[in-house]
Amino acid sequence: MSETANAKDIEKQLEELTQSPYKYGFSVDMESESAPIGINENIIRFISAKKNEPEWLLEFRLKAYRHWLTMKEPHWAKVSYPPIDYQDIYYYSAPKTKNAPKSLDEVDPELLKMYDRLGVPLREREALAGVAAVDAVLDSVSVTTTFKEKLAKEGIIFCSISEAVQNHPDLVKKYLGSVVPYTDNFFACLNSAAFSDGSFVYIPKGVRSPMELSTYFRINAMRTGQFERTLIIADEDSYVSYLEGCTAPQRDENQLHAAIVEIVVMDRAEVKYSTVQNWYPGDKDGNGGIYNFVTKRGLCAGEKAKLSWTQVETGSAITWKYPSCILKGDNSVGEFYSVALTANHQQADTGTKMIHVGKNTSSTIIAKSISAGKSLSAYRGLVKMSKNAENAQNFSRCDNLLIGNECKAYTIPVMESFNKTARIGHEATTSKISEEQLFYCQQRGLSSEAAISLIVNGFCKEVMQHLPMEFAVEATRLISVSLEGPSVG
Amino acid sequence: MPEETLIIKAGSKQTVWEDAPISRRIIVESGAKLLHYRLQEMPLTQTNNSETIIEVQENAVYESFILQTGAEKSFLKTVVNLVGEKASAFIGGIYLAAGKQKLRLETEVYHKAENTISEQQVRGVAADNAEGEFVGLIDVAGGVKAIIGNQMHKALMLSETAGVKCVPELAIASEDVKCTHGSSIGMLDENQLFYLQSRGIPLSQARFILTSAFLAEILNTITEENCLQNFRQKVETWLFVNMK
Amino acid sequence: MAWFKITNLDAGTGDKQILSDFNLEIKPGEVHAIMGPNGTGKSTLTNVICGNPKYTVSKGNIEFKDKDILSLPPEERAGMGIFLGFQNPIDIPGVSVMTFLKYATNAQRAFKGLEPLDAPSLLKKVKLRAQALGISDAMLKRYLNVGFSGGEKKRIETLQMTMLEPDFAILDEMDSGLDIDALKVVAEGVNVLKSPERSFLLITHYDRLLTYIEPDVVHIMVAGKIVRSGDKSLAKELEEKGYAELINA
Repeated sequence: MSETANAKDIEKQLEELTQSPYKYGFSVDMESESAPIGINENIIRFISAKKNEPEWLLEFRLKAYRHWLTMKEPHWAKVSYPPIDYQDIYYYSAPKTKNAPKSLDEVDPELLKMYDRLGVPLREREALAGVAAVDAVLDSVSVTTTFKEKLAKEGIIFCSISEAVQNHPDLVKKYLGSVVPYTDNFFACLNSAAFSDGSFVYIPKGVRSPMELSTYFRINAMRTGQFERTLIIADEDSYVSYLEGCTAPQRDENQLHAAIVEIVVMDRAEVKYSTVQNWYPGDKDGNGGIYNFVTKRGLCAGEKAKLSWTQVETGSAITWKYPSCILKGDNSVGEFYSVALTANHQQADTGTKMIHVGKNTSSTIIAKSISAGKSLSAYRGLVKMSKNAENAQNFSRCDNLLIGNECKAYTIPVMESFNKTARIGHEATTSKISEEQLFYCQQRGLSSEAAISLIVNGFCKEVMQHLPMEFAVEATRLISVSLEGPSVG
Repeated sequence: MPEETLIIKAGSKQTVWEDAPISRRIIVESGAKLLHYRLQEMPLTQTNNSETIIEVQENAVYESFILQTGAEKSFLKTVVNLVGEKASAFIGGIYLAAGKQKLRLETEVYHKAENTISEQQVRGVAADNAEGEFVGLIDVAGGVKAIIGNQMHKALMLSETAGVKCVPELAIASEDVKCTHGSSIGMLDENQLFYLQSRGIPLSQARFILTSAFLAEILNTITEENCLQNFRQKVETWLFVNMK
Repeated sequence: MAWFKITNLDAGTGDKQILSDFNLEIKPGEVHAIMGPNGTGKSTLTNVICGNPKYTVSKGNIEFKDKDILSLPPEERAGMGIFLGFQNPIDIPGVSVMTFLKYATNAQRAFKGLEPLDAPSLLKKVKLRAQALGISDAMLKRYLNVGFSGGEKKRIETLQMTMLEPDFAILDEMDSGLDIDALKVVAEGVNVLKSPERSFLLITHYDRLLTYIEPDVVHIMVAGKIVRSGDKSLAKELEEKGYAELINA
């Protein structure tokens, strides 16, 4: 599971360069063209034509769009945001940013300080901060080829969805929408109509991916991907660990993100999906923050299939995101490990759904949240044992750590059981950092900030140990950095 | 909307017995203690939708127990507002659902003052095609200190076709809080059953014994002797009839 | 000025005054013991010296190494070389013993202007001391004090002391709950550290600990102040006669 020095090398090189999916293998140069603002059937046809998509995919989009028109936008009691005008968004290739900074000098110094503290390489800071025309500097063809060759040797496909549609249409057609149908919810429907691009992963039978698949290097692609679509297929007896996100906050013109991640896990295969994200805080007044509505769902289709979601999220975004597992195959396993840290005026509404369909299925949920400042953190869980879930088991644990008296934490776990042999157990605690723990650490020489950081990291330990090593180190640093500052302690 | 208001005068101690659900407001004044025992045993042809709102003032104690076994459909909601310092509330509940019943127990406890304590302990049993549901909230307002809130819900399913739903909710806005909640849904422990059987006890009796014990755990928190005996008898009768 | 001196101290929690007109002076290289009945303020004393914000000082001062320490936060007093072996060490879930030792060691090195200790040196230092105290490698990986018995907690407190090498170590009832073997191990940990530059203040009920760690001065504390001081024979006398008699003597 740990990378060899060589793979690390390649990964590092990739991190320094970003790859725009549009530049690779397409007949038309997409860079300078964009569809008019708003969404309608013509624009969807335009998008599909630009991407050279086959008929069946255009039909898929249109069906979704027509259905979307009949749907109503959902609203949740706990998270508040100003209304979204869906006609005021570019659904394809946004023109280069109107308000983009021309150099790092124009970037919010707080953001630069954060990059510094997180140890982000200088070359990446411009890309992350949205400095215009950074792409031109980057060239990555040779490096990408080496990386892809290594994976290709194993028969692993890791490319953009757009490429996959061209090169592996059968696979995409078979699985796209199979886990999250367009009818699922309002944002998933919009995504199905207007999705731009995303990752496609296929691991063949019996293959263990030799390296962690990371989207970190695709920073630039993420910037244009507001309707991102990811599809991961793990064939029988395979294994893959997929990493998404990065600890450095990215400036983004696109306020709305409605992404879909679909994962299919076959017999005895295992997929580990890890996310470490530090959402862009927006300016001082909270403007420019991101609305992140993601439908992430995995189907454990085969026997003994295993899917685990691990996420560490901090920063400001209105996030609505419930990575879920449908445990269909007998003896399949679903796991969810999460740390959510909110401070200042941030809001997070997150959680998971574990739907047990098959026999002897089991799920584990460990959700830790840390709230400070004037923030709001909500955990919503659903564990459902359907009629056929003989002997299924679930254990959930939700712990909230509150720092200060102005933050708020909600825990709303819903449990439903329709099979008497299924067992559901849930525990939750809410507490604060005890004065005794603080004093104990201080008496040993730690400052109160260092003590809080140590105690909080101990609080999150149970979740952190499920992250791949590199990510765990980054995530730990991210939490410490996020705890610094006037809003905490 | 509850119309009637019952006031428990400051410093006094009262026991109130309800043999059918009433929607109303209750105010437990400063230093008073109310023992509130409630039975919902309505005929299967009827439905219930009731809400009781209780205000507990400074140093007052609200202790209640609900036994819900009747009606075709029942939503029984209890809202407790701990408004004065050192107020405390203990809510015990048992729901027993059989046939095609849909029984729901809902409790909301709001900690609005310092040094308040609340405890919710609920047990449920669902048989046949019935559905039992528990929805419980502990809400702590911002800035209040020294809060202790506990909630525990456990449910047993006796048949293949029964269902149980539960939503134990926490909404906390203060850091000086010790709140825990737990919930479990399942069936009787096989190891315990086998242990009894190995001592010569037939399976059906063993199931009866264990389910009784499961419910006795909280029945025994009822401090008023008459009520305790009364509820105990009703529970045993229900078990006798519905356990196969 | 003084190396360690408490002068006319009044201190307590909230509205309750516990220490009144408390005086104590300790010179470098000395071992002092304070004995007294329960509730007499011994723990208050140790916590006040170390700066626990739960306690307030209304009168008097405490000097250490010629500096007034009452205005300093706990971590700075620790950085100056004060160590408290807690009576009831708290647990910190998720933080292993080893990790905690690393943080504490490096925090104190930073105070002295030293670079953090590299991992191999740290590990070596810890293992050496852990072995001497009968602490297994497995215990070092466990979360600090989580599920530890009383005796195990005291060993870990002693391990921390031998790692941090304080100039002034205060041990609050280190002997309570320990069997003879554990007691000997803890006492050895202390004796090994004895030096002319280092002092110890032992808070204890029983003279048993004092047969393993020889005190230079023994004080009896009652109702928030020291009522009698003497040499090590005072401890024996206390054991034989009990508090009541000695106080009225």
